[in-house]
Amino acid sequence: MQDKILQNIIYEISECDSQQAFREFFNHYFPQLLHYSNAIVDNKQVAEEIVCDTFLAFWKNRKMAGTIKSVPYYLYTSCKNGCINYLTRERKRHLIDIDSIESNLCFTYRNPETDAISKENVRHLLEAVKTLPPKCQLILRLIKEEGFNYKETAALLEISVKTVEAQMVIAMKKLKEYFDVSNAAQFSPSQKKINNF
Amino acid sequence: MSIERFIELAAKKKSREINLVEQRELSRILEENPDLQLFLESADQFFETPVFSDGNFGEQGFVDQHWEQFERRTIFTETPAITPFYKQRRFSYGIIGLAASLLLLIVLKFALPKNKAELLPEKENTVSTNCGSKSKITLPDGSSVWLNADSKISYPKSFGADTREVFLMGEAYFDVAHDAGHPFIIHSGDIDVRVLGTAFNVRNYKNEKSIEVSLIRGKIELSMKGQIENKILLNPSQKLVISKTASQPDVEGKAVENEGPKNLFTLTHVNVRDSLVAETSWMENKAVFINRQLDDIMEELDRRFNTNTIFKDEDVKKYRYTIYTNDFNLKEIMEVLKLSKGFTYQLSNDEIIISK
Repeated sequence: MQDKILQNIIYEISECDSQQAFREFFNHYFPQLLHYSNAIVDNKQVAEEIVCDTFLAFWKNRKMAGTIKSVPYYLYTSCKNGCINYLTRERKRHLIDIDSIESNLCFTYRNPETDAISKENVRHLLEAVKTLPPKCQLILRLIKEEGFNYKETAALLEISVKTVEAQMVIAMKKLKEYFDVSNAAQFSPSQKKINNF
Repeated sequence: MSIERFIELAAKKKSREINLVEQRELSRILEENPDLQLFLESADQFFETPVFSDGNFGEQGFVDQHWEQFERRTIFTETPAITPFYKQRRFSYGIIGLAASLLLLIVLKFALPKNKAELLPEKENTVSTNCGSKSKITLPDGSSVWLNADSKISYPKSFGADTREVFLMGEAYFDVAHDAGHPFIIHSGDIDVRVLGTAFNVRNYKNEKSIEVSLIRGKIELSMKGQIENKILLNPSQKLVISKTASQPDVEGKAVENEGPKNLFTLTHVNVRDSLVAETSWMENKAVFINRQLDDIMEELDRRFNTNTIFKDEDVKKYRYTIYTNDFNLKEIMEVLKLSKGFTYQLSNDEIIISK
């Protein structure tokens, strides 16, 4: 969601108690948060509950929303805390188990035909992303499409900033690989060496 | 040049985490390897296009279902658990409404009331900054004030006795200690800002056409000097811009008519980008310029670095830039501006000459 639009929505929610604005807010962030929380708790029903609780809390505290520096980060963090509370209560784990994210996270992508991903190279690079491990894809999504920075992403996944940096490099390498192939790079011995990175 | 290093820098760039030094390194690499530029352009396009979807989590029917459930659970009209205590009078945001009320008002003279004038020259503390410097001071009540370049703040020795009053010219960021018994009041030119424990920015430079007050958190109340009854309440992330050149009421209380309608006040929001608030970025040694003309930017830089900019070309003055930097360093900023939209400049002895 663009800054300006989000700012207006937050203004409407916190100052005007606008349910309509809140619904727009809900429509935009509900699916994302569900995806994120499901990755952590590995249970769709529980994830749904946690996300609804997150929105409820946000509505209750809406008067303070204007003072939040980064609303998306606040929202995700609030959701994360809900997940941790659940995990602690169930005595399943004390931390987010990043390995479990590897195994149960399932990604979906926009359909190139129907979603007007018209540029050929974008479609091609999407193929590159699909081959990345789930954790890497999640990090890429948080940075590329949810607009978080390294620090925020690291906090939301409970990993180090260095790990986030490294994963973004892995993603970038893969993009370059696919780009080179699609541009019919000549396979000389030195080129081969580069491709082995 | 290693391709690994290029990939690292490209990753940082697309994650919006690249700093100025790294950006220069990247530009150099691209100059020497133009074929990499093609890849970067492709990556740019890719990063601008959303490719992830939420699958059936994102289907409208699915979301609608959950919204309905949510609606059932939530009592929307319930008074929020946390209600800021200041939500009482509300300023109606009609600018015309304000102008009309000013017209009807019988306005007192704009001179400082007698006792204040006596207060000023005598026992008072003054802190001022020149071009090129910033300063942080702590007031006797524990409040912090960060003074930007070319600014001056003064307060009487009796600060804190009854009220906590300061006088400001220039730009300062205030973090006011909470003390309900002693109102904190800032006088700056024609405005008075009344505070109760908040963090905000006041900008009133002599040579600028407007006064800007940006509220970060808490609450503040603004009024025009001498019109204490007409108050404007600001909420967090709101910014009030007061034009110094718009029509002012004269002594009889009628607005002086100018050519066209002029906005005396504009209520807007602070500019937030990537969690960095533009209005207070000067405090953290970062710079945020959003669609500003080069002559404006150079004025800001002159103030900050105590330099003098001379434009040899009129067109260049109007070039617009949007830049965010983590390092408010003159040489680096000039280079970034140049990279963004080119011009030539000479920097010597605190003098900057800019031409096409």
